[in-house]
Amino acid sequence: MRIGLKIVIAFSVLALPACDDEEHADLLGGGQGYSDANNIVAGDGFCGPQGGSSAVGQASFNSGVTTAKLDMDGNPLGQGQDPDWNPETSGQVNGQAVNSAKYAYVVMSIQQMNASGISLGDWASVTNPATGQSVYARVEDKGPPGGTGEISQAAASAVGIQQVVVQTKEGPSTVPVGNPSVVVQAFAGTSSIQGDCTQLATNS
Amino acid sequence: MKTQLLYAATSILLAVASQAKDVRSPDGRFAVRAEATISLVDASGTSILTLVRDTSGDAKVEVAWSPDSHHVVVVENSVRGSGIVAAWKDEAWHKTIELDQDQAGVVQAEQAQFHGRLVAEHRKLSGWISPSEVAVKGEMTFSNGGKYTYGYTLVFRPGPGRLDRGGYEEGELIGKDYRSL
Repeated sequence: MRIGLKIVIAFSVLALPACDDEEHADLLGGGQGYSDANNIVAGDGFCGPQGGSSAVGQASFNSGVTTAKLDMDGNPLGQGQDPDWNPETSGQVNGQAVNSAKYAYVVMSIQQMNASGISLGDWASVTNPATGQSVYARVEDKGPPGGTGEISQAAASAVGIQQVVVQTKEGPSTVPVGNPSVVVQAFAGTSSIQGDCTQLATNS
Repeated sequence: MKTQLLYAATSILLAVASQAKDVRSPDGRFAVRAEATISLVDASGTSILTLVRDTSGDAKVEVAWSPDSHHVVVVENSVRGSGIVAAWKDEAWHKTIELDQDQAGVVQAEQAQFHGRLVAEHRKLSGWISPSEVAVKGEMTFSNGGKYTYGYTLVFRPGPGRLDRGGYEEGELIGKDYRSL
């Protein structure tokens, strides 16, 4: 049996819908990076979908109530504060990784995305069932199979989840305070809906 | 067996992005076409199925045709995770997907073993065992830096699958015989 192996560059990412919101980010004063990795401005970055909940329609993915996990990827100041830190995210804003501290985003597995028709840049929501706080986010990172509840620092902060740096055997690690739960929903086919900063929270 | 790896990089030239790459079936009657989406096409290039709607963020895509050209498997790998979709043919082509739940038992066991949560996972194909069974190898990385290398067999089990929102017939692509490598 012959194995034909060929490596080619086949495709790329042209333009991500998340870029639509960059002008809003500028309006909010949220530039690239913060002096303090944990100085998170809730709701900064993507804001909410123009037209609110009626524009995004019914969720095509619902995590159910699950334990919140922090994804610090894309936050340049997250290095050294999280052993899992990665400078890149699957999604990009203006050709850059999506800064966890600046943008409310959620992480989904590739299977979850395929099975629910979700693409990078689609709108999502994060709800803290303990407080009732919700925030709009976008799907901007692809994670390992079965992962649910993994959200950016900005999304966590927006729903009242505090973050703390703890010392572990592997070094400092930024984790949610307590064992907070969240519900993550995502809305297929909504990536082209532009951001509207009057729509910061899903329940506002 | 025909296996090809398609590498994608977000930094490559836009001119390259519009190029399609076909991975032809051994009998030459079909191909998997990798663009911004991954499609199954016939010999004339007409799309039969969209296997993956959006490859944004993928670092590597692997395509493997079975020797009989009746099954094809596509493995997507992003920086932190992978996913597997497939298509199979009887009178018509069907698309299916491997569910994350397949690996849930392994993930739970190894998270307990490593005292850390799963933070990254990657998979690759390692050869057809039969026309409807393909070997898979994977590596999981846990939050404490621990790594677990494993293998399993991915089996096509055509049947009355549940159609999900992505259009995949769920329950027709099953992982079995998980083992540590």
